Amino acid sequence: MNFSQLFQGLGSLFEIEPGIATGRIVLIILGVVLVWLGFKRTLEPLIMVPMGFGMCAINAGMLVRDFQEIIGLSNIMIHPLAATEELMDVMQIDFLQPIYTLTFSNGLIACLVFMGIGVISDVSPVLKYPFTSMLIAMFAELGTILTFPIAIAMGFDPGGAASAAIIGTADGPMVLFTSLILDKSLFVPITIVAYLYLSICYGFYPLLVKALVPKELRAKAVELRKIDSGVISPKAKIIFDIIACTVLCLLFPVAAPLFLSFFLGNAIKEVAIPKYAELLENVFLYASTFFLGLLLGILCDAQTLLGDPQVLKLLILGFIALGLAAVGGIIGGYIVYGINRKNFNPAIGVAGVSCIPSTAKIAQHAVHEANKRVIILQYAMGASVCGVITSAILTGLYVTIILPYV
Amino acid sequence: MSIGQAFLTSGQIYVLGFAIALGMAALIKLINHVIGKTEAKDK
Repeated sequence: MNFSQLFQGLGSLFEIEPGIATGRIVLIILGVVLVWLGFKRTLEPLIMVPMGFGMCAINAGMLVRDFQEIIGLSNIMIHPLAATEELMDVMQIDFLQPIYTLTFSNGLIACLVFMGIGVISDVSPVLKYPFTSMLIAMFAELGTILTFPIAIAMGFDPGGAASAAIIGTADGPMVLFTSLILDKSLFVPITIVAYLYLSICYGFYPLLVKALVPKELRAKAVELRKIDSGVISPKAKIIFDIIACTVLCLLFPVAAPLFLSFFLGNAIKEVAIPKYAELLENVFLYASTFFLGLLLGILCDAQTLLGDPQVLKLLILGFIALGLAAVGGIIGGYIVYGINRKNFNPAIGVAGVSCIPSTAKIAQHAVHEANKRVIILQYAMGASVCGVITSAILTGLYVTIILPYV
Repeated sequence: MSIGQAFLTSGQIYVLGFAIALGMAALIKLINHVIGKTEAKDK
């Protein structure tokens, strides 16, 4: 009896190069850690739990060489780089391949997530405090802007550098979208790095806010002058949705699917179509997020990931991009603090990083720790929603301007 | 693309992005103003 043929996941560990075998074991352990941290709510459980399970399964479930030669595949879950001719064969064997090819690698899953985000977002703070919110959001885009030349200096071509820089928008769907258009070869590692880091924001950003904003400033209450009506009517919000969608699509047709998805989702909520709103929020958003997390975990196959020398550079760039994004947002917070003659809380700046609603919650939490009576969530949500809009603007600009270099 | 060109390109994108974002903010103010006036007239 051949042990390696009987227990192929274990057997394949002894057949492959020691580096890849070690990588598989490390990624299995990492998968377990991600599930645990998701369970403890230290990291975002919606992504980390399916991602961790996927990571464990793909790195454990590798077939031995003899079987690979028979069926032509190393596992029966996914082959992200399958070429067109072999794709139909792969689709009939790998159970996740249809989902990957027909929703993930063409950006559909990103658009479905954006529709769901649109439904759960409230654009009232944007309409009440448009200049404050947009200013903070644009300063948070410093992460993207500064990472692009750093990536060029690290040897990436313009398409790859722009794809890596967009990690700084902290917007998973934008990252998916940009790398699909500008550098498909980096699509898998960039997406994994981006989503992994987005969840790590939860742990890292609160420390950054405490380091950059002293306690007495974090404890500040805010009272910004509201517009005359005080309460924003659904009519105003729906008009904003349709005009903003149309204008942004006119300016950046390459990002039109994402603009359409976000504003349509928000409009569904404001027009009050409960069945559609339920569909987008409960089915589209959660199903897409679930499969996104699972596919990301499955894509963390040691051979695909560790075989790519760009992964380490992308890990560094991702860290730089998201770190600078938070620093930029807090700088924006300080600028608004100065403009408003100290009637602002600089910690709100971190919410300009468009990880809705995580960064807004991080800002509120940081302020709450300094002064339990202060509520700044409405201002933070305004900055977060504007962060989605400015991320889309920057994505559209990068894709339009960099595409000729690709 | 050289590093200098990359900085320049990023800088141009940032300035353009800022202009568009502030333009969007101005558009939002205008929408609020028009809606506010319409709703006041209806009352």
